[in-house]
Amino acid sequence: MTKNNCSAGLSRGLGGRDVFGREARHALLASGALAPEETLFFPAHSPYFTRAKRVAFLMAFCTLALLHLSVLPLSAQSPRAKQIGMHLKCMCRGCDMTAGNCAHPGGAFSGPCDTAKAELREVDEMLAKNMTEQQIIDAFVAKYGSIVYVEPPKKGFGLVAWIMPIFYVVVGLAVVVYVVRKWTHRPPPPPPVGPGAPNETLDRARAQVDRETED
Amino acid sequence: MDVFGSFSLLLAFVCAVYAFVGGIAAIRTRHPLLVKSARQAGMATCALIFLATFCVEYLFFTDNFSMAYVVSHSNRDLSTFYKIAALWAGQEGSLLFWSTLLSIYVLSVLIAYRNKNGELMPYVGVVLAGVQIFFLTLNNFVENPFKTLATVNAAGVLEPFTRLDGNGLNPLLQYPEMVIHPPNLYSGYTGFTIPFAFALAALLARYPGEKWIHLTRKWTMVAWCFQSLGILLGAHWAYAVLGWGGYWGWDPVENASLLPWLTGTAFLHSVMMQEKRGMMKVWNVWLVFCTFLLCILGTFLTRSGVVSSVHAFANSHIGPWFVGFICITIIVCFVSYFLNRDYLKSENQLDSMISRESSFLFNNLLFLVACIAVLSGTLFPVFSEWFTSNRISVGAPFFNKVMIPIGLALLFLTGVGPLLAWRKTSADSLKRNFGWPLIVGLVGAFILYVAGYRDPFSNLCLFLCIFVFWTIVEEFYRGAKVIAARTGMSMMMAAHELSMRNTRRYGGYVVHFGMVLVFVGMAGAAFNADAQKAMNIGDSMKLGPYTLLLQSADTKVEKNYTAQRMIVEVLKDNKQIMLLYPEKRQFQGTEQAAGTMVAIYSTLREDLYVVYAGMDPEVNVPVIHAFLNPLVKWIWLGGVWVVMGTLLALMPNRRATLVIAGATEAAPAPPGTPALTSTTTLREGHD
Repeated sequence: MTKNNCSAGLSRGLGGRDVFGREARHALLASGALAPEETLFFPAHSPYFTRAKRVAFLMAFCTLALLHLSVLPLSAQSPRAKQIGMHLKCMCRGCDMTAGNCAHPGGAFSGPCDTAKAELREVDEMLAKNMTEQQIIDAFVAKYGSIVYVEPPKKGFGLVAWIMPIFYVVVGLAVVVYVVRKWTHRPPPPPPVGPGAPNETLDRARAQVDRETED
Repeated sequence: MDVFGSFSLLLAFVCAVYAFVGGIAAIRTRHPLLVKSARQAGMATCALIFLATFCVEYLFFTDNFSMAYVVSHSNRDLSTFYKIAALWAGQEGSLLFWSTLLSIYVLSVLIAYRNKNGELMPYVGVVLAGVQIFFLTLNNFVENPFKTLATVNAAGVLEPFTRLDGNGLNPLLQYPEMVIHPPNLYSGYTGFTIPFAFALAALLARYPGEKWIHLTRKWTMVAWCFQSLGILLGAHWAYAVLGWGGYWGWDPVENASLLPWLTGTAFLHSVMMQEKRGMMKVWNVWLVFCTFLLCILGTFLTRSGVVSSVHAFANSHIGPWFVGFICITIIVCFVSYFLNRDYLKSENQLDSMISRESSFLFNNLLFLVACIAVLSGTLFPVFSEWFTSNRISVGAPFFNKVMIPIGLALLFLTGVGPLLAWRKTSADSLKRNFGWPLIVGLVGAFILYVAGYRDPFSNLCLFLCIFVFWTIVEEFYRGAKVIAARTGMSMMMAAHELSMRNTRRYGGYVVHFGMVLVFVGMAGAAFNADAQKAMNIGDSMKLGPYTLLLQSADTKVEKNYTAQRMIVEVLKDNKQIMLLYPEKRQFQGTEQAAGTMVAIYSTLREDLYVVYAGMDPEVNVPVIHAFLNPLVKWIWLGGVWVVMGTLLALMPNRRATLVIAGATEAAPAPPGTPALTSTTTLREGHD
């Protein structure tokens, strides 16, 4: 079982997060679970594609896949590899989680998927070659592109992501300080003139006092 | 029934257009009959939308598998409970559901104010009809839920086609929370349309004073409450169903629901500035505009998948429609603002940097920064692809690093803000108000540190939580003491009386208290631990103070699914505490997709969260994944307090009953004994 396990099922954005999304439907379509109008010409319940045959096909596929995959149980992932895996995305494109904590919700097996495991195995191999964490991450970026990052790198365009929040705070603070200074120097509103003015001013003052002493 | 539903949806569209055009004509001519007819068209629109929704539900309940939407989201064995929820399981239905919830608000507004605010209501009606037209366009012409199945027969002619059974509801949605989470969240999204409509209407009509704020205050609170509840229920659903051990993953769809909540919360606070001091009028109008736009943007992000994947955008028909609607709304807002901006002049001046006013400014600053930071982080992958043709993903660690400091600053203001006086706060009152909370907070943080909770952010957060909690306690205590002294009530009764006299203020404190609990829960995340093991029957694994022993496994067959169940014994200090039953459910009609049922042993101290991950595909042994999540329960408890606080704030103020001094023995006397008690209005409260 290679990518099949990953893309099948309801895998999209942490599984259910995008449960309403079109991609979940497409994943379902791909897995044969959903047969909307488009697939009616090849109905899922056609006699040529029975459930038993599908299962048999899947099992045959799995056996073939197992034959050429080095089988490693869960315990084989070293804690160090898992730790580094937390900084690498699971590249199955189905779960949106990190390789280190891929739980693949919604799938038949909600543990680390094969892609995540393969990534961790690769990390283990790199660790065996005495590569540093940064070198390993760089190697993965070279292989998959910048999509493998879990958080933007603090260099290049990724730095923009990190500067943005600081920029907002600085600009926001500047605006607040400016506004406070401007408002503290604002002259009080001129008293209204006219025959009923004194009473009106007094009423307004009273209303204001009422409002401001409420709490 | 499908023709009937389809027709009522179309008729609703026609009515909405009439309400819009007729409303504009009514504003121009000021003809009372035209005003009335536009309003009634608005009401008819709502009624027709309800009818269409009823038809969809009817089709679900009658298992009508000639309907494409029913086939995709239901099957015969689906329980009644989930057939209701199937309405919002897919694109077409959820957009219809959006219209329905909006209609509930619109109808309530039109009926509640039918004889009031004659100057303003025609404008409100037009804005609301405009929003309804947009969603009805989608319902009718883009994502119509009343599509039937068709097949090509031997003669090459299309003919109707009925399936024997449907594909079933998405297994992830077959969970009680999924029945109540979307309605709550959508009620939040749609609810902000009402303050938006009133703000825009007041601006267009140049409606004098702060009336629109008074009118919409309760509507905003209702929407806010639904939004908060919706977000928390969604988090709980993610926690209990997805089985990855967390409740918030900074996923684009989650972020989309948080954005309007942040600006909405800012709005709820900044309107107080306008009510009390006549300031920030322009700001408030724009804040409510932004909240509405973010609601639409949130719906758009959720529904179109533009952020989750580059390909989803091309697949979705509705992306361009939403972009168009957002652009039109922005233009309308800008134009009406520039034409009428002179009407929004601020009245008062600010006296001091250390005052309630400036604390509101900082509160708004932080909420806005939080909102823009989340928004830009969510959209950053899209930007990075535009600028560098290289998609850089932004995951949870980024958001955690950015949002934790902002969240803590907000928590700090939660404690400080309400105790600063309007205009100017003296150093003396600062000492009086904050002395004890600071001391209690520091002592509490120190005890936690000694007890072994050692993480800088988490400790700071817990310190602030205790600090804020103590400021709230002191506020209630001070107020209650005065009432108790005057009336001879017990302190508890006096605190209750106090809250009822100024529901908005004390309801606000209760909401703040709820948020403190939520923050306590989030602080626990720093100490999360987990372990995963492929276990044979009889194997055990250790996690924190617990030992998990896999006792046995069984299979249970239900009507709609088959579950593989692991029976896990939980031991603490070699004593059995309980049995946990994590499950994996295989739903009918779906091949690969399976539902996870997490088993949680939840205490105030921590959650033991056990997932049966399935058979390890490599060694064919059940894999148990256990998480130890401290303090998570506090988040859900906080949610309950937030809702209770909002409900309190929605209640009208009780007038104070003043008991004449010296008549304390008469305190328990029933109300309405005029000889001893004189009913005097002490304060009008806020309303």
